[in-house]
Amino acid sequence: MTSYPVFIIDVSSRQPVEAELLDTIGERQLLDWQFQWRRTLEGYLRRLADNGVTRQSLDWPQSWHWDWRAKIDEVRGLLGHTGYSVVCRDVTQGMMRLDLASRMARIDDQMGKPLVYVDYLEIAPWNWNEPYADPPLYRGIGQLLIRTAIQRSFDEGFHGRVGLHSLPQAVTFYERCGFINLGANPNEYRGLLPYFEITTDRAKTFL
Amino acid sequence: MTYSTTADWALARAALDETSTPGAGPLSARPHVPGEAFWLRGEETRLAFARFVNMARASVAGRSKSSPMTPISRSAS
Repeated sequence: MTSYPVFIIDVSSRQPVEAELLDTIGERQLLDWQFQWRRTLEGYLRRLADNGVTRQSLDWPQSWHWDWRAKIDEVRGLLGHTGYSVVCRDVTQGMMRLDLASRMARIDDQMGKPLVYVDYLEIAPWNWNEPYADPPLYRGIGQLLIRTAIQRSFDEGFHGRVGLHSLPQAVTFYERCGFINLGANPNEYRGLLPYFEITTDRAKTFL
Repeated sequence: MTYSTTADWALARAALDETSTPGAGPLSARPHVPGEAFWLRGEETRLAFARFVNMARASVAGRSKSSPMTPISRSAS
């Protein structure tokens, strides 16, 4: 495992704080997810339920059912998949699983070329920027993980090309990062998730 | 992986997630379709193929380790 020094933003002080980027999602991260992320998430779900919001509503957390232990187990030992995590003050603040092998670019001028595909990206619930959530503790974790995916794409020889399906809550974020919104395909994820891709030039700008 | 970033980089991009929560991956409320075969789902297909490739590699590696000089047997005709 390799650890890289990085910075995220402490929302209360608006100042950068030191954090670590790990090139793995290890047992420690899974325990943080299991016992800390889920506890905070359960509080949010109770809050929503108390206010009459149901699971069918788009206000319901869109990643509430994700099981990171299962996500890591299903690709363990597969060369084409890898994971990254961001840790700050000894707690996991964000995780991302990448597919390095089986996806191709869809934008016209890079159509059919290999890219890094973000299978899953999630940040800890106490960092969420949602109406039902407490004010976030840290920001900048998503940016770091996207930067990591882009850097990995350059390292793999994919020239910075990255693709992903955005959760509806995150569309603005990816647009601001420089991704191009190719819209939702009715044959993928019930047509609910827009597909985003970033080109080499835009990736260089983002870095 | 080569990776280096600075506090200035983090500050310069602090506004990107000011109004939204970053997240990517399948939505939570995937309906169960009775009778749907698991191999029809795109995600599982890709993972199953990757596992198959891994098994094939392991099989080839195991065979070459255990008996590198074993000729291919042919049935007498």
